[in-house]
Amino acid sequence: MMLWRAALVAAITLFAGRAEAHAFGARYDLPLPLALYLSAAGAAVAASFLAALAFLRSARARSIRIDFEVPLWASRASSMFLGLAGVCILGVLLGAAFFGPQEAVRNLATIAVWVIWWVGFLLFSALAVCLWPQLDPFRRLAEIAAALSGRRWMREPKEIPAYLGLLAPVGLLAIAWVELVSDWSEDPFAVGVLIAAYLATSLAGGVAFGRQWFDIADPLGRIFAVIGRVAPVSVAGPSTLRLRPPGEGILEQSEAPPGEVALVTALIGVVLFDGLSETPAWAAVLEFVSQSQELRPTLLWLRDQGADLIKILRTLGLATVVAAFYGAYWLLIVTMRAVAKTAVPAPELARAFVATILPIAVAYHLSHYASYLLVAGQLVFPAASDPFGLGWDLFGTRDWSIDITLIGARQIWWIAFFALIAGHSLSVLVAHRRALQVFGHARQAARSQIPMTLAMVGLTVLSLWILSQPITE
Amino acid sequence: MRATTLAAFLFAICVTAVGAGVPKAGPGLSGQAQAHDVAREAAEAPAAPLSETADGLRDERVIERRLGSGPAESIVVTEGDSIRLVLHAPEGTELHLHGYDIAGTAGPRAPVVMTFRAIHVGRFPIEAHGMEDSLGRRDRPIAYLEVRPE
Repeated sequence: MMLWRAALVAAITLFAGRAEAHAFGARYDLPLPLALYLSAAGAAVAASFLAALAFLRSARARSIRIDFEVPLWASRASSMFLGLAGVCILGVLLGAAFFGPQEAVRNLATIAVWVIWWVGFLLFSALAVCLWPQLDPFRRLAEIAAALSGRRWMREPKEIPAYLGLLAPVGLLAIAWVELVSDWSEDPFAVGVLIAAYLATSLAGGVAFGRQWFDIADPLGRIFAVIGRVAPVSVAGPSTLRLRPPGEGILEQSEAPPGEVALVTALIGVVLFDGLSETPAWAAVLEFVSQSQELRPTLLWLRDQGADLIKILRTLGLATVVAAFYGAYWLLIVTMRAVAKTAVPAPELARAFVATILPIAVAYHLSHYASYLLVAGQLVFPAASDPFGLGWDLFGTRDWSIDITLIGARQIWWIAFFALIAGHSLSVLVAHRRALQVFGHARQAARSQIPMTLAMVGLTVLSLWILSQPITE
Repeated sequence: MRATTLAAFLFAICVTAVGAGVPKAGPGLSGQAQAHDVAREAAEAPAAPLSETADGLRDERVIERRLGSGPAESIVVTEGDSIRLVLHAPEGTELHLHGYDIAGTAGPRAPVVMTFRAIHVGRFPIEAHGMEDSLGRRDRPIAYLEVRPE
């Protein structure tokens, strides 16, 4: 009996370190001080006015860009290199997921997928250049699979049913659910199974619909494509590199693929939920539910059925925030349509403007994750040196330890301050220029931007408010 | 609810890095045992400000809190302070301060005492293990330590 109790105590002590909720995403960031919060919000409002004024002075919608022609051999070589690198990385990650150490912070697959790629590479794609289509191992392997099965790879957009475009937002929500709600994201083996399942789907889609699968249906292809439009550099053709002001890519797009409004609003909704679910407001919701007398019988019944109540509540929270943001966007479009007195159909307006909110979302994402990326990202060095747990030391970084002081609280505050003001200004500017493309008259375009700018101020202030809240698990 | 162990890993590392800077708290499980001893000592002799600390420059700040009921509160200190946290919690509750990785279990009439120098800036949860709420959460933060830059 004593022995059994000792074992139990030992087990509890061991698990004490393991069972903290949300710890792979643990951020120890201090809340943004009130003064910075208020001055950033004020600056955002001022920037909106300035942008509107500048716009009224010179209402031009000409696009600004410089194209560089790269020698064909160089572009072929780099494309080959990136493609090969992508496939090799996928192979190593799958190997690490299945055969490496089964611990999220020591396994290369979990670290590389959730920290380096899903946070880091996504930010790189938005802030520098989106190289996902070149790197994408799913696309490359699907192209090979299509060739092997004798199916055509190059196809026309009309060769894929439009409704498959909805797979993009659905897939994004599935990835977000895995990341923010489920336990699978912290289980290397489960991450391996998910990657393998994604690969199988991509191969089938590529064989059936050729490259259109990746341009229309593939969630990752669509997410990176839309995020990459914010970036100042883009791969514009087989041997063309394009330099442009950030956000300019949003204006280059004329026809959005199906499901674009749902995809972009879901992208922002997911990021907002990630932040909101760490605020005292969300803790108060959980507290209310756990104390509520009316809900008590239901909760107890659910628990007896073996349900994980926190997961259910987080799923509901994620769905609510995404749905609320989607609804708010449509409300904005209906208002814009009324204010601008235009005959342009609402769905067309919705598609035209949805990507203009992205700079704010990218700025918030950067502020939210800067320290996480710099601190948790360091885990990749020891993990990459011994990906399969065989005692290797490939890069001599096996025993590297993490420096949690790499970035200080003040730096993070200033990053948030400047990123959000810049992101907001960019959003307002791009939306104004988009309005000139959509509406014939400059006056009508200006009117349409009154509700849009107000909504953007709202989103920026909401982002700042989340950053100013103390992180509460 | 992403992977769970990053925090634990980070604590171990930062405690290693802190080394002598965090008196009376070793890494991991041994730190727990020490914190427990500290708790017992504190029960015998109530916590009093010490005039001498590790570097003898700053007086130790004693902060006493009763935790476990109501919403999680924030304990705000300034970077560089020497801190002695005296935390009262229901008997048998294990308290764990993230980031600094100090843990201790509340005994009968004995608070958990955590002594350290606040050299890491940030907002660190003090998590309680062993108290289950009606949502089935067994591990949840019952207070936060906020170390603000000077």
